[in-house]
Amino acid sequence: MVKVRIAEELLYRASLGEVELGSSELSRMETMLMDSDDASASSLYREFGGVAVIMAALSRHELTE
Amino acid sequence: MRASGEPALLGYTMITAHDVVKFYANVLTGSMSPADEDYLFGLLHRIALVPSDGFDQLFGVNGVESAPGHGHRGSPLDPERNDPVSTHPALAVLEATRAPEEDDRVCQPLAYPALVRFGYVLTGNRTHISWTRLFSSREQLFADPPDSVGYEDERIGATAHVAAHPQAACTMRAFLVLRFYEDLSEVETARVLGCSVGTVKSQTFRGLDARAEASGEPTVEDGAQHGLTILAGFGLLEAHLCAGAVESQDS
Repeated sequence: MVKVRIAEELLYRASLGEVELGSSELSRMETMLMDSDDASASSLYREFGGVAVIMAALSRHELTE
Repeated sequence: MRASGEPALLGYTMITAHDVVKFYANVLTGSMSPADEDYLFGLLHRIALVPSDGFDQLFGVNGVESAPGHGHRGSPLDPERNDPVSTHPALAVLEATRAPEEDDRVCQPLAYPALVRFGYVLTGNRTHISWTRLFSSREQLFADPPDSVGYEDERIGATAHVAAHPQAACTMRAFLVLRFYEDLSEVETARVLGCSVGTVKSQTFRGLDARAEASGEPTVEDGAQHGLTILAGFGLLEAHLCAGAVESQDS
């Protein structure tokens, strides 16, 4: 579940031009979602701000429950 | 949604069914560019059933399609499964909610809209991805309205009423299902069914009242007069909804 939020948040940031998703990031995103790969998820999570990544998605979508 | 701060504990992040729905509803209604949406859902459509961590990807909410009694049909993303009725995720959800041994969350009436909508997201056919589009055909609404969702004693009223008034019941059920099972607003229900908001209000009122009467419960009017939340069978209704229905009768 959380991996989809990470991916969505990174795609959102990229759409605003805040971050650039290169082949390394996209590759890890694909592995993270398709294989539920924890190592890819953790590395993206750390690289883009840790818990702030999830908190940003949570706040933007008002996931308050 | 509650985030876990530790990378190693990402799996402990918790999210409610409500927030799952909200997240996907946002994504599917324009928070992402179409290209990003295609990319993200393209990846989700190609998930490995048993990924690198060895756990079945389709457990819990995601796994309602493979619930006991329904048969495991492999990934719900199977491109061969493109019949919109027989592959309708709601059918699997209905099956899942019938199984007493299922996780309590699945049996909770409140979880139903979440499960259904989330099911749409996971359905491989792109035409299913926008859940609102599924309601564009009235036949689909009547194919298997979720009378059977919830516990046995909660279904008696609807069943009795349907038996007594099959045609009227069908129409009212569409309104009730959309308003209370699918949790659409009156405006959304009116748009989906191609009628006015006033019709939604009056049909909803009649449906609730007929349903209550048929099941021997207090009617909407009785309940509103006493300030009670009634029709507990739906599990989704609260007093303000009843009050709204009475208002519509007056208007």
